[in-house]
Amino acid sequence: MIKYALGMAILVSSMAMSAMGQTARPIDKMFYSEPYSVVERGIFEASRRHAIYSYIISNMSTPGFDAMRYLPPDDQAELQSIIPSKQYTRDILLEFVVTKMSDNNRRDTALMTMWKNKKDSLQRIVTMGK
Amino acid sequence: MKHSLYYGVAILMVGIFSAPILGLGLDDALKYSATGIMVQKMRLTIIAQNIANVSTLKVEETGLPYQKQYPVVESTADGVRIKSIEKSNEPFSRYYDPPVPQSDENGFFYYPNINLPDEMMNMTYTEAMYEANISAFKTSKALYQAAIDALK
Repeated sequence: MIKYALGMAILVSSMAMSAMGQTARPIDKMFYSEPYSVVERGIFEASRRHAIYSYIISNMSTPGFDAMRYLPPDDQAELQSIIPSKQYTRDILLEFVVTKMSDNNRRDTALMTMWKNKKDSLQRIVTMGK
Repeated sequence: MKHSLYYGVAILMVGIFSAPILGLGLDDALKYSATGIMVQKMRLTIIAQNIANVSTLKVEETGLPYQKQYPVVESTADGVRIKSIEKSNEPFSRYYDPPVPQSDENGFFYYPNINLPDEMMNMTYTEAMYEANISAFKTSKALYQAAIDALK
């Protein structure tokens, strides 16, 4: 009898869990879709890069400060392609970092607009268009 | 395979060496720019003090002509800071003019070790750095504002 009751309980709970899973999955997809999280990661990355550029600008006049240590790898590669010799990188560093910051700013604005559009769509769904 | 391994190691090395400023956000960007602005402002103040004392022949404390001051700047995890303000040990300029009350027994008197064109150049450079930090701060503020507006 006890075994039968236990078996029934497991069966009912597994059915309930599978039913919940079926209903929860589309909502999960709606709120936590892959493009949405990609946009979020992009915003975090843009914020991180912005902080790095700010750090380099604030230390531009610090003697012995090695900005190459802090630049993201793609920026390092770009800077090295412009001026291969490390001796002269400091001469154009301010201009390089400021242009990169401006570029990053544009990217962040675009990502933020995408995020806002997605958020507005979700808001319309949740409030049923009200 | 080999190249991807090298790339991974390079990213790891960059991560290790730049660890103090990884995992950053806009708050940190504002903080860095703020410290940069303050340091450049302090530099400007010191330069202004040097220029103002360009003809000070005697300082009460030392009994010597005014010595050029300069800030020693270092980078920190919070951005940048002025570690100390040092006095220049460069030799003083010497002029021969016996009637001047400050002249010594040989008729020479000494001028501060300040080079005015150098100070003007430093001032222009510091001003540019100050403006760069202000621009960075304004950009951080704009990004912050965009994030706030997105939540409306």
